[in-house]
Amino acid sequence: MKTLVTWLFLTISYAAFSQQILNKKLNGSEKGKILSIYLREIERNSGNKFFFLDQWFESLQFEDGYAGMTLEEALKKILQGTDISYTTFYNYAVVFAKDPNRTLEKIKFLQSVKSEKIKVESKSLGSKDKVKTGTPVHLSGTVRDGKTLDPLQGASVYIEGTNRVATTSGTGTFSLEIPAGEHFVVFRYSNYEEKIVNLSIYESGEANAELMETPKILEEVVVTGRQSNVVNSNVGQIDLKMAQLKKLPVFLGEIDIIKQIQVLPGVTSVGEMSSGFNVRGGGVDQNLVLYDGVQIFNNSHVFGFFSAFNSEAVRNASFFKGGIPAEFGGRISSVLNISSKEGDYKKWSASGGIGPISSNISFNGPINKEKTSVFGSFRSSYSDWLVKTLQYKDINKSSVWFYDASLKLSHRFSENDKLTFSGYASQDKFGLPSDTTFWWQNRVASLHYDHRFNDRAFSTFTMGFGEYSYDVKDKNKNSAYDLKYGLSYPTMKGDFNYHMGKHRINTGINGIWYGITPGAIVPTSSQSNVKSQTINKEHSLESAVFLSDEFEVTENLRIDGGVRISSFTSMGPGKVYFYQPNQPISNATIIDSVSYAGGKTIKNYMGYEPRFSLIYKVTPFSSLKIGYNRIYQYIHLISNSVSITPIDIWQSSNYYFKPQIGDQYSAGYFRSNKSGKYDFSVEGFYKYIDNILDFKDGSSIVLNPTLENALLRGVGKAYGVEFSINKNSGRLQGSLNYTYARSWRKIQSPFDGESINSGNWYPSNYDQPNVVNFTWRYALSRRFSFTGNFTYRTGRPITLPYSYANINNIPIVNYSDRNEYRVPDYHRLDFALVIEGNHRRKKLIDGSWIISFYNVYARKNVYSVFYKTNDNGIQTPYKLSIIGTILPSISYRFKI
Amino acid sequence: MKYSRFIIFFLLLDSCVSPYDINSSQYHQSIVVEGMITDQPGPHVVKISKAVQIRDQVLKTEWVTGATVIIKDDIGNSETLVEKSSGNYYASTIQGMIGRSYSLVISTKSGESYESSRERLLPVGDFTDLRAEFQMNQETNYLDQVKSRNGFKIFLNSEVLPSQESRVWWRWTGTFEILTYPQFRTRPVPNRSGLTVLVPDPVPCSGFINRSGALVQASPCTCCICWVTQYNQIPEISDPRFINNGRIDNQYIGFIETNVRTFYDKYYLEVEQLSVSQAVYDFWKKVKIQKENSSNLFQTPPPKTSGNITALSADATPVIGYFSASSVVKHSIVLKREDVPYHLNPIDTLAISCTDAYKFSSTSKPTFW
Repeated sequence: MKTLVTWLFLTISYAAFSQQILNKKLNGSEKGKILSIYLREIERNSGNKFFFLDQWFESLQFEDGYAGMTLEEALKKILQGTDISYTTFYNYAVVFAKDPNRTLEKIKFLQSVKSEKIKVESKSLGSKDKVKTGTPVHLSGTVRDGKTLDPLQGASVYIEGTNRVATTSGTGTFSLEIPAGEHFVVFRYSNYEEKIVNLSIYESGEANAELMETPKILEEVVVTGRQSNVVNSNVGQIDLKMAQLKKLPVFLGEIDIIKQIQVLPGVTSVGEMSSGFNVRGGGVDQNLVLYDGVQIFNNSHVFGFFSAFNSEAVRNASFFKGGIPAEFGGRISSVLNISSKEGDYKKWSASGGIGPISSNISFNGPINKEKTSVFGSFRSSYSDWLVKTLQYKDINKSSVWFYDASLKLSHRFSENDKLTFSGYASQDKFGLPSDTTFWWQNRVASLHYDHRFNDRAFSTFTMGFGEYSYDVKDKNKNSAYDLKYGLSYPTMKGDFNYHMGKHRINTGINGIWYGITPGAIVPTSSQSNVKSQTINKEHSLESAVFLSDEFEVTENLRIDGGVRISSFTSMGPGKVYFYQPNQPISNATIIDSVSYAGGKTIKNYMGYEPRFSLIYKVTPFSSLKIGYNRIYQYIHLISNSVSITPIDIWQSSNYYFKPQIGDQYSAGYFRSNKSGKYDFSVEGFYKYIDNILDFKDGSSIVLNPTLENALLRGVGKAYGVEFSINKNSGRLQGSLNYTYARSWRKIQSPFDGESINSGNWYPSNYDQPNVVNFTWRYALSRRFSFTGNFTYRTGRPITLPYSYANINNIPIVNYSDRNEYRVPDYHRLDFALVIEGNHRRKKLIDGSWIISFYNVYARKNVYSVFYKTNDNGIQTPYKLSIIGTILPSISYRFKI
Repeated sequence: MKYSRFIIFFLLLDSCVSPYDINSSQYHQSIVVEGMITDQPGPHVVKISKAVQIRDQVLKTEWVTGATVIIKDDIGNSETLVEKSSGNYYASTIQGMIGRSYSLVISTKSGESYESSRERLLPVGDFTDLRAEFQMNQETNYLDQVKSRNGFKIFLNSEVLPSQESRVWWRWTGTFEILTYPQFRTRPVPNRSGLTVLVPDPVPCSGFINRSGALVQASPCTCCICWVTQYNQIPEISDPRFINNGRIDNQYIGFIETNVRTFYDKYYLEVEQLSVSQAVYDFWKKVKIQKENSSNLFQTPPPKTSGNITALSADATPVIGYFSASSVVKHSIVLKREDVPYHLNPIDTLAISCTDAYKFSSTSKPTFW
């Protein structure tokens, strides 16, 4: 017993002794000293022992920033990236070893990479004899798309086994300080094949990489050792993975970008027939959707059944829901920045898909090898059967048709100059049984000129033209008419990027000239009782200058600060009505009007929009992110129905409609495990919106020359917290998101009829407090995978009839307060089986099948509650489920 | 392709639309007021009732009785109305005059008070060319003779006076004659072998009696011929966009269904054109939106139809309805059975008293018939 106690005592005291040394604080005397010399000094002063060969540490010198650290921390930092590690030995000595584990690690990594059939290239820079291992050297280079040779922005360059990561700038360049030695350099970009270079680097030099887009529908099944980007990515930014998207269960065989956005944390939608999406309690019009830099106003086909973007034509899409960079503006809640695919500069290929609703085809290749390329795609529906199957009389007797097409031409003048033309068009037709036909279309075209001044500076200049319009035609003899609405928006943007040490500066200008034809109706038959009416065209100019700096303060702290100054001018010709003061505004209280001549300023607004985000890496695998942005929105969707319908009106700010101002604050904690296999995040937000618009009860918005009478102004607020867990590798991959969020509005006025719900806060149409999304993908084999998703969300608010009365022998229904009740909760499960073609690299056709089941347990989710008049003339509520059953579909996709 | 289409069709046969149940806890009580004063000789009536829960789809009316109802004008005249039948309060002397303003004051038995806004009585223009246009919406067949989607669309050309401030309200009353066979009523009776048989059970007012299984006429039928009144179910109001130089041409007024009952003989239609205040116009506009939106896929969220009457205390039962001061111009037309451009069968055999066949049905022949 006594021996044991003595032994324990000795052990503890030795441990404490050694521990003490590692805990010793560096006092600044180490500065400028070679590590070996400093350790020898400690040996002399403390009686501790360090075992090492002097030449190992000759190149390791203490620089600034070590003072105050413990020896343990200092050793960790100084040895990082070298192949030297240490261990305490017999509790009084520190033994350094020319790290055999690093070698083992490397072998392990190489084996894992080989098992995944990833090719590893070798490259050497400098000679081993001349430099000692561990000396810092400088590695730089450019990452490009292997086909289009475009520089890839945001690609990560990562030194395996260390936490050294660089992200490529807008010119695709990166630079890294690494210790001389042998390293595996991993180049990664989403939807592209990973590239690994076995680099022997003994002097500063360049390593360039060309990455190839993931060629197959399925990505490689198991990739280990990935570093998750959740920790490093910008605040509120999500890069959509097109390849992943293609593996999710699809609705009637159509891959859909918007549908993928709808399952992200913080994003909701009101149901199947909603083309928009709601981000963090914001309205569907508060999302800026850009297609090659030009806004798209209607992003859906068939009222939101499908998104208007053919996923085959999309190269990548970035989605921002917070911390929106200063280069974007004009919409409060989010930005979806879609870049279309560019043609291959080397060889021709084609791909396509055949589904039950529509088919698509795309082709691309060089017109002039290495110089000029083209990419074109076309998608069209070919049958009405979708609507015929829906059990609702207004829909199933109707007809529906749509198409979309895109074309991109790129010409490379030199390594540093490129000119691109991008065109996109989509059109929808929807015919109701009552001889009314709706047509709506988007058309955008843009010209981009990219110029690279040098490795650190580049700029892009964009000129674009966009148009959104709709047309409603009625052919009934007594009411025949043609109603047109149009919105055109020539756009210009110039930006300049400069990379200077730890700063990345982005500055530029942006201008949009809106021309809105709010409505023109003409009778189209002689008996028609429709009076011809045209509301004058409205013109306005939105312009902005922006400046932002992404500042890498330290290795662990990144700050992105910026400001956007926007200006909006509503211009003549136009007429402004004035109303009696202290009276509700209506046609009856108009007292005067002023007409403005063409080009005269009717009203001008200025917006100062600060943007800020901060990422602090607590450890290499966890980070804290804080974001704030203020955004002014000058164009508003005026809708008196719940989701976007084709006949909604976009109205720009004017004398009466002030810009909406949104302030959003967010903060989150992001963490991944060491291998990046799992990541977790929690993020909270608070958003306050000023000058929101809501419609007045029973107001009419179409062809209303005094729209200010029909709309009410108020404020909105939203807040919530989003949780997300992802498994990024292995046979089973998936993500689980949960969001709790609320979205409120308040419209208060001293006048009856101008307040909603007596001026109290009421839930917005898309206030869905609890939202769960679970998505998974299980690789059954290399060719087969089983994917699925489950969605749950609280039913959205509605207004219900609760009683009726006969007034003047007309049964009249009494409705509740606005959004007083809710539809039942929404939940749905989808499955898909993806069968790929064989994995041989050389084959004529690379085809794959997707068999999907939408709404597996056939829940009749209530899309809306609507009112039908019964035999007694009383409107009674009915619930409408758009998809009341399981919807199977099969589609085939190919690539030649 | 065809095969998959078939499968999906099969699966989708399941209905996507079903009634939505509102539980009674979601019900709110409210008072309903309908009142009007016109430039025509009275009597002017104010009706006060209670709203009915939406689940109770019977057309019963719960009247508010014993209330004090007063109509006042802007020069100090007022009249307290007399409740002649439950919830129906009549004025006897007060008469609407163009240019004068009127308001309504109500105090219920339980002490709750309500008041309308002040309504100025505006003049109204005349209307011409009241006409009917037949519209064939479906092929007729024997089964559809009682209910059909075919009928006459009614139009008129209206004159809108500048002093009407672009607001017009139209309402119509239609009258048709029906013949029923109350003597043929039967009732099920179990016979000796336990089977149910139908035995004659004539309605007493038919004049027939069942004498040991045989129908015998004992007196003349007093409930075989009735005149049924119909009212417009969707309010029609002017759309300022369609006013051209003080006129609205081809204004749609309503739809008169043609079937073997409505055109048993002829259809008498009386149309009124009324002036309205902004508040009452807004009330009808909301009702119209409510009516037209129903069964429309793009229906807008329903407007609350509160009207121009307000409660004087915050905790009073909410009120809906209107009090209107209006000028009225009336014209009528008669639609004949011969105007229906297809063959109508003889009236069907309805074995009930004609007064029970329709809600607004009476055995007294109208003066204009």
